Amino acid sequence: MRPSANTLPTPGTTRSGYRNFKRLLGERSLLLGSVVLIFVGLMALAAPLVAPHDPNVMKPADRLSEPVFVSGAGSSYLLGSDFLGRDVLSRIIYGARVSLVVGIFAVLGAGTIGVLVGAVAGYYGKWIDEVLMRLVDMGLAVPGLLLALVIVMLLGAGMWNVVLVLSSTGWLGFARVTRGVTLSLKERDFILAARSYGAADSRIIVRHLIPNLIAPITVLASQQLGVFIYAESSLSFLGLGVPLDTPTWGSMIAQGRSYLDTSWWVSTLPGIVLTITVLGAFYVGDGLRDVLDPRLRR
Amino acid sequence: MLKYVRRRALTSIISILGISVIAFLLPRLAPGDPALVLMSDDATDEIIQQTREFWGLNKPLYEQYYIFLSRAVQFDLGTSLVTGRSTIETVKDFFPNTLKLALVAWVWSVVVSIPLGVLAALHRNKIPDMVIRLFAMLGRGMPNFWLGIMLILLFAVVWNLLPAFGIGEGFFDQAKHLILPGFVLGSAFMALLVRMVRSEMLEVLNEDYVRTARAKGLTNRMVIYRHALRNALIPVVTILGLEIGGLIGGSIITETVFAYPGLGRLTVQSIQGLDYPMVQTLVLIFALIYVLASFFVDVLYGYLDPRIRYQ
Repeated sequence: MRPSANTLPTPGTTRSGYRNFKRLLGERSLLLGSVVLIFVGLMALAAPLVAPHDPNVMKPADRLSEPVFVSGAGSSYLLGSDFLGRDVLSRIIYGARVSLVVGIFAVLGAGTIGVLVGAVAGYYGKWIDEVLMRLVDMGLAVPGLLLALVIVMLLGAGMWNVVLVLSSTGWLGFARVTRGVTLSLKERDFILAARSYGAADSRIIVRHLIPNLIAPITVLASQQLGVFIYAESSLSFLGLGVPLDTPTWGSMIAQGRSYLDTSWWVSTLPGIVLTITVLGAFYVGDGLRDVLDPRLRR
Repeated sequence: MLKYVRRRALTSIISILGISVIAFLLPRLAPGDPALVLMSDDATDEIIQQTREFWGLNKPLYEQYYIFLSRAVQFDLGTSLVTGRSTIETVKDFFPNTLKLALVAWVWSVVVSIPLGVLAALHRNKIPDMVIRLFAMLGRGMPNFWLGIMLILLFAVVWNLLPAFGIGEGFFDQAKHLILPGFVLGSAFMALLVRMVRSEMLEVLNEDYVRTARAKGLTNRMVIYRHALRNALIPVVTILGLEIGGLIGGSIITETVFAYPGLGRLTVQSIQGLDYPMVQTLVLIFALIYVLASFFVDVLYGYLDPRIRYQ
């Protein structure tokens, strides 16, 4: 992208790209979160190479085998097996695929809708703003999970349906934030200048407004990535998300519930990975916020 | 102030109406004949005909909506397909359980998070702050359903201290059944509140009036509780109200994990059972609770912080 005054992360500050990069590295929570997300991402990409077993092959003879670190014996199931004799480690590795695909696409979907609605509402103001924001308020007046469940009820379960559901409930937050930032940007000199030389509204929104929204939206997007991964696992836990034949962390936790008294690892281990991944996304969001918007640093 | 209350009341009514459209459209968007969707599979032709007339399904959509709305106002939204009882009666049976659970969650999270947030702010970047922040971060990142299962594993399966499922009978037994689900439901809220109290305290501690209070020689305790905390809590009040919605949403998961008979579990069961009349009612009830709560909080907020009223 061509460097220009209106693509800077924080409007009104001038900082070289290199120094920005150094600051990004210096932010501990950002570094920690990125390492976690990159690790989970690699795990998802390389799943067929690194998974020791086929995640869906059932070996009833090996059902509920203890993890190696519990039994100490040379079992072939590093993290044990579940009630159908499927390898827990391999299912965790493949589960990363669903979590990340759903998380990333839901962020893209929700972000696109939310940024457009928020930018239009904030930029045009007046009745357009009023109507769109009432719509957002209405959406926010129902607990997000309930809204998601109701849409799943209509659409049916399935991975892409979950993406659709999370995009159609998750854009509300993006719209709120975008509108707020747009309202303050609208009064700034570079927008006034663009308008004074006769730029069309669509050009101002796409070329001047949205580039300046990148910083706050990136922060929100990485936090929402955690929220969406969390939401997908909740839906799958309830049996209303991704179908049961696909390994997901949420459904693994749900299935292990019936065997808590004998085989604690089936529910526990995917939950640990899920928590670390969600926290990774939150840490990236918090770290980016601290770098990009030092006013919020606490 | 009156003008502000009126304006807020108006937006609340618009929100409720909007939600009622969603609830109204739900069975009509579902695949198949809405009359069949609203009835159980074994319904006779006669009953289906009655349903059609009851909801005016042969009339234009706007008339159907009017019928739906007037029934909703009269608390008559049909019968649950699963239990065969009035949906409103069913909600009445389950609501007190959810209310109890939400209250336990709300109280513990508020009681714990305010002192923790203050403590963290006063010891900024020292060990207590770091421990409290880690605790809050875990509360935020740990999925409720997994936390619930882990607590069941420890407290019910391994140590056999607390019941894992259901609601219990008699006061003490019921209270015991509320401990684990109440803790889980409140955990995310606790995490949010700790972070919020901490950051508001840090902000307020730099204000001139706190410096003035110190300068006039007040004790540290007086400064913190009389001058700093009171002001730091104003924005927290908003969150307290907004979180009522969060707690209701959380009850969907928490009640399912603990097989606790409340509105949350009822919601999941109704959705799994494609019980449209029940789901319609639940969507309306949840939205009503949430909108009313945020209305009262906004009014309270306008009262506590006069700057809000004039925006």
